[in-house]
Amino acid sequence: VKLTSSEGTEFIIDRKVAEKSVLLKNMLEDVGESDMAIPLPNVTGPILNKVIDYCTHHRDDPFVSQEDDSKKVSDDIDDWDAEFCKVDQGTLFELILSANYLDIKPLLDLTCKTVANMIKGKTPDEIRKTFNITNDFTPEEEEHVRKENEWCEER
Amino acid sequence: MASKIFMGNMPELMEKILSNLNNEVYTLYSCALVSRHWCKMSIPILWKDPFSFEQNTLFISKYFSSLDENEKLRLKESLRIYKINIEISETLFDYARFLKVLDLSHLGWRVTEWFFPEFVNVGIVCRTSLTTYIVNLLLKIFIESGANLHKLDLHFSDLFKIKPEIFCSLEQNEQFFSRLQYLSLGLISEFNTENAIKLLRILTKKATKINALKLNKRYTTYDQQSLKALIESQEQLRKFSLVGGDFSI
Repeated sequence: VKLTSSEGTEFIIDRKVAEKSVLLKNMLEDVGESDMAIPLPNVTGPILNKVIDYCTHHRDDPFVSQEDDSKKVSDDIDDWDAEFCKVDQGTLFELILSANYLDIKPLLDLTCKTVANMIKGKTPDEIRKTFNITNDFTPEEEEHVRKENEWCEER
Repeated sequence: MASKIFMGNMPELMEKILSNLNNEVYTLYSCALVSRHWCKMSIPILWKDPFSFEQNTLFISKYFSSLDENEKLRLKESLRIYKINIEISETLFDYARFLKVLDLSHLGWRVTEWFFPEFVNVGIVCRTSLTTYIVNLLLKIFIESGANLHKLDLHFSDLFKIKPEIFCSLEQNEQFFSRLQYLSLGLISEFNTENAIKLLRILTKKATKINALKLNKRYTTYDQQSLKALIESQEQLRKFSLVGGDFSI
């Protein structure tokens, strides 16, 4: 299967690897066998490269479709996946957007869990600094939110 | 520049990230104080299942802000008899609407815990009557707020009784059980058999999306006819769990 990234770089991958993406799987089923490259205008070359790495490593994993809230544990990431996610923040967010666009649920789950782990245990100020967020609360609003949720502080 | 995911452009992705922090009450509280958008995204997750957290029970009084003035007055009067004074002020959010998980035993215990410190010398009859009043008031608030439960743990202890008007509200309400996916049937005391039958009948009519059913060893104390009707009405039921004791099926 041929894919073209947003800059026009061409990638050739196995159909089985491409089918980890529900978007590509559906496209391939609709189009059938074809030599035409599939354009992915929302994904840059370096990110597509990473996504292909992920899908190649996980090519034989069983397909997971069922959303199960009770299984959401943010620290059950295996070594290969943890190493895969050791990228700069910009790349990590690009991976989330691409996994969402290409509909690759396990990659989306992994990257979202990784960001959640970056948030875990931080104070509001640390979160703002980590992700470059501006505090747009008025002091009164902030105090109001704090007061209504102060039960969350230590028992 | 912060990622657009955290700026409000893609709320579904931010929700997905934050939902990994489901049980991290302190982190979710931090998230709520980051910015307006972060607050809007994390508060619904924080208030999904507050009765299960080990935090203090101060949050319970926040639910009462949606009561009308008469009900607020009645509540204050009822609590004052037991020398409990509460402030009911306007809240930023209608927190009741965010409730997704309801465990009747947690609800009863946390409500009792809420006024217990001031209450050490009060006998069990008074305690049961006050718990019953507050639990029923909260149930009414949850049903009327437009909340959609995902998980329900039924547990009918002698700690409180569900009043007939709650069953009426549930009969008339289309939302509360409409997205229920997990149902667990726990303890049922002999004084609550009728209530359990009523609730199972309502669930049979209103809940159509249950995919996991957990039966506690005491399930035999539930009316078998109503239980059978409930199970048969569920087309999406995929998972049965039987917990503890001897099951003769």
